[in-house]
Amino acid sequence: MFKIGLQTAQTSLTRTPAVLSSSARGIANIPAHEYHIRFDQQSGRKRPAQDVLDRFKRLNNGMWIHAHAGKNKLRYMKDDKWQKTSLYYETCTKEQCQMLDKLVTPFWLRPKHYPNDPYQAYNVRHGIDSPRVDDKGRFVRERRKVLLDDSTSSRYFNDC
Amino acid sequence: MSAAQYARLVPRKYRHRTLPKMDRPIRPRVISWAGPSAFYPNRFYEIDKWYKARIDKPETIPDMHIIEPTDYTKSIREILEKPQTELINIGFKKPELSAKKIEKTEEDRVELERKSRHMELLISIDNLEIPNLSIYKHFNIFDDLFAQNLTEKPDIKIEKIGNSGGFNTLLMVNIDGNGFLEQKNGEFVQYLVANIENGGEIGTGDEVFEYLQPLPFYGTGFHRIAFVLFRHSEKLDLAGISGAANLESRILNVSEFYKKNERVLTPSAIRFCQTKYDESVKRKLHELGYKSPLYNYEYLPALKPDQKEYPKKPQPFDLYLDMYRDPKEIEAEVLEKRLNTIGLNDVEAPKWLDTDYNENKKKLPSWLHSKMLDRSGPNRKLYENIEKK
Repeated sequence: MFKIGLQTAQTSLTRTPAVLSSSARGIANIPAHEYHIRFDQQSGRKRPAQDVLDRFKRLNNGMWIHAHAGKNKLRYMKDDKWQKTSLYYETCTKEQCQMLDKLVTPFWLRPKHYPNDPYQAYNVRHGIDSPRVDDKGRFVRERRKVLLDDSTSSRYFNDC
Repeated sequence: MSAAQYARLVPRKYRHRTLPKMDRPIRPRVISWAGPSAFYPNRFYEIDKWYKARIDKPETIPDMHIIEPTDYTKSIREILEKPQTELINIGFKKPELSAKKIEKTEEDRVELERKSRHMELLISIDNLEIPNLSIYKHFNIFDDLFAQNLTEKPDIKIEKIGNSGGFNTLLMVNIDGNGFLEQKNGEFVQYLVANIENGGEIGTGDEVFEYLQPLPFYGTGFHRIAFVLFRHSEKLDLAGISGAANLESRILNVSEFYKKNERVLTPSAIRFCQTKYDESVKRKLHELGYKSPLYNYEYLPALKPDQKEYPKKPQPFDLYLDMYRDPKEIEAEVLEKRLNTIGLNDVEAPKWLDTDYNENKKKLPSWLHSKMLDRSGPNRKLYENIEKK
């Protein structure tokens, strides 16, 4: 079970599904069923957008990352700087992260831990002191499920 | 202009069948100094405000070039020159160099110019200024010809001055070579021979400090070595200065030394050269029982921007998050990685960074692969063999 989990963690971003890689997939060619939140007809539960799971990775701190868009396009005619930076995995903006959170099921929002996970070091963030609860009392970032006053939490739970 | 005004001004005979379209005179749309408020249409008061703004503009007089009547005859170099304190010449008279200088007439110049154009100009060696060594230095002639020639005692000849007696004292100092600056202030003496008789060999003098080759430490760049010759009529007593084998005892404050013997000594000649580190410095230091110090430039740590919870511009996630991680944690991670790879008897650094480069290039995410190949920053410790040092 662990092995499977590890593999999905490492290759979900790099591997493209065989079906998708064959056809050119621009912004106009996204099939209609993919830009909606879909629900299962039998059970009535939300189904995760498979494309999001294929193309993005969610770190346990709530940050989504993705490969540089168009990194494989016309590489030969682009400059050295781009050759290097296009290989980076990039962060998403806040709005994008919120959207992606909505496109997947709560299962994928739960913190995930795998053995020998190369992303393990990036699952927590350091030195962020913005409030971790929004105005309605919802958790905006992952944290221990104890609600503490600010001074105590900043003293003992710096990382999140 | 209204139709009524047109009718009033123009007699019927000359009037056009239709009212001609007449524009009002154009007023400027943009006057930068007046601001946009100058053009607000206000029909009730201050109708000519835009015009007033123009009137109120302060008059600016351009900066004039002022010519001081007293400096009028001076050249620009003289005017810009800083007032200099008068230098006192404390040495001997400089000998006249016998370089021939040929006066050229206008015809000569024309001829030379023609020759130069046709590539026929030959330069006579006799007419060159011989001691002009800058060209040799420029092409590193001496460096390449006489590499490592400072390990042995230099061959120095002192010119005889007059027939009278008198003594010379030769001092060879490394001006930039004081490695004990915290303990002692001064220059590093390479060689000090006192009381050389006038016209005599160097060997006839008292060797106060034995010759030691210059020791420019690794990474300290070029060091200036100065040879100073002092002349004095009576014998010099250098009892205070002792030449021990200790490097620290070789440090002498030359200006203090001169100040002390000011009445007796007259500096009569000076030469200098430059040296930099090579292998012989290390060898000599080891021979003397010292370690060869390595000087490196200490760079300031890279500036980092304030951390945003969600950066607006997409950032490389690993580099961005690493920037704000605890450096100790990163080091611990690297150490753990290293301890995983080495065995108890085998602490060699790996020969290859990544033996399965092609495989990994395809298989691993690029950030992970580049992290694997990275030698800089904290990852340097993966390849530096600390245990062997």
